[in-house]
Amino acid sequence: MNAKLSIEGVSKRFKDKLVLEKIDIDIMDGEFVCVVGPSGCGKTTLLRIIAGLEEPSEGNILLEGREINGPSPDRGMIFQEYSLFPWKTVRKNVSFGLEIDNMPREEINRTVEKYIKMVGLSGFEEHYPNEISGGMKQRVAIARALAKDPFVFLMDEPFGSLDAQTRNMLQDELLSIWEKTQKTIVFVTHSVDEALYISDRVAVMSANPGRITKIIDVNVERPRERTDLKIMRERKEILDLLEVELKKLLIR
Amino acid sequence: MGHKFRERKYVIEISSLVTFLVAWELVARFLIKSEIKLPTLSSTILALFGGGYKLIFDIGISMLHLSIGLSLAILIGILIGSLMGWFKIGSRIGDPIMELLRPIPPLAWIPFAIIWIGLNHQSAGFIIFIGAFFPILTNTYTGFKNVPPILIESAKVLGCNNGTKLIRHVALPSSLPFIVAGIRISVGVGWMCVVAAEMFGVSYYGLGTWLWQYYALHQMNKVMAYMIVLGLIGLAMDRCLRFLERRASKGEM
Repeated sequence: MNAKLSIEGVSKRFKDKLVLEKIDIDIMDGEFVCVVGPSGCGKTTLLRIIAGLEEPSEGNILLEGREINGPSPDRGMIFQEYSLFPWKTVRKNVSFGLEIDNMPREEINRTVEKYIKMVGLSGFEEHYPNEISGGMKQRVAIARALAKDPFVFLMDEPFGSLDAQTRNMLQDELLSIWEKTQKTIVFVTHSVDEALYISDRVAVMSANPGRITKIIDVNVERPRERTDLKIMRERKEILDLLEVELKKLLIR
Repeated sequence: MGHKFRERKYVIEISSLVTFLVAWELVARFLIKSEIKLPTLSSTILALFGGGYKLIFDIGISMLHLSIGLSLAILIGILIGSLMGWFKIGSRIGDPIMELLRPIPPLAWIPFAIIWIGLNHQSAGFIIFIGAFFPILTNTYTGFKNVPPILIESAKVLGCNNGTKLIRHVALPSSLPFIVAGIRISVGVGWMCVVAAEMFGVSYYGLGTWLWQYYALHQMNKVMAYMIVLGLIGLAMDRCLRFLERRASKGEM
């Protein structure tokens, strides 16, 4: 099987500081990969490079074998902070990317309706972002990216600022959207439990400079239980790796 | 209970205003006893309604002057402000010139307004433009400079990838609350400039023109009446724009 997204020897330097060092990972079509690591390990930077919002200092990103060139809707991005346009309603936020492309009105309406329904926000189309909850805002952001039908879905701690219940609920909804749409997802998080619950593979990163120390397969059937003992072995392995990282930071 | 409290608050405000007006009438009538030093409320009201249609023409011409100045200020202010806020080089080019020109009081431009443009409506409009321009410029600049980067990045990953589109679809709507606030301030400043701009005889009609004319004729009750008209129109415009400003900040525009 060919890789959908190949990250080949990507390094990133900000001035003299090496933030990412030789990141290599192939992500398959339809795969759900999580990237975990301590804060400051460059996981967000890696995602921004894949999105085309930052240039790598070295290395390449290939999407379906072609080198990427700047940001593009073929790599949809969900940010950690709320990124909706506050002056647009839910409907207008979701249709934004389609209107930019001058898609015919009818097709826009159909697409927007489909994805608003998929994220469970029917009935909230005319609400403004400041009138809906944090969880709903992230759902709108997901619908907005989905509407552009991206090859890859990049998510930067999208549920990081939500309360635990909402977070669990959105993880389940994301999984069901993933199953429906068969998208390839790269999901950055600092929560090991979140990573193990949702992903096929977990890339564990270390800091200073940011490197992928290990890629762990999560060979557990879905739907998973959050407390599944089968995950516990992987959980321990990742936590041990991260603990080593933490100790390194404390010694310094 | 809330309703009752609201009603009572209203009562206090009205009685405050009524007391002020009654005090004015009494002080003018029995204490000052001079229509020139302080015209009474009653003679001011008579002056207000006694002039017939002339007041309407005066308001109309003053509004014309305001709209000349204001529309120029909005056009040029938003244009230059957005260029200065969006492009780093723009602010470096524009800043020194703007900082030099801004502190010059608008009325100091009157001599050049007359020489460059002459004694006409456009000349009054120019003075008002000078007053109204800077608040719009600085607010547009602030708005464009502070477009949240995450909104620009979101737009980019959604395919909104060139500068013009980003300005039109992201920077401009994101700055709109700032711009509308700037326009509201400008209307206030511009309205203040109207009286002075009309002082040097740019037109036959005009609130400012006739405020001075009536002063020259020592018809102080008419001067007072025109002051009240100036105040009320200024208040009405401010209220309308505050309403627009609230809507703009909610994104409903």
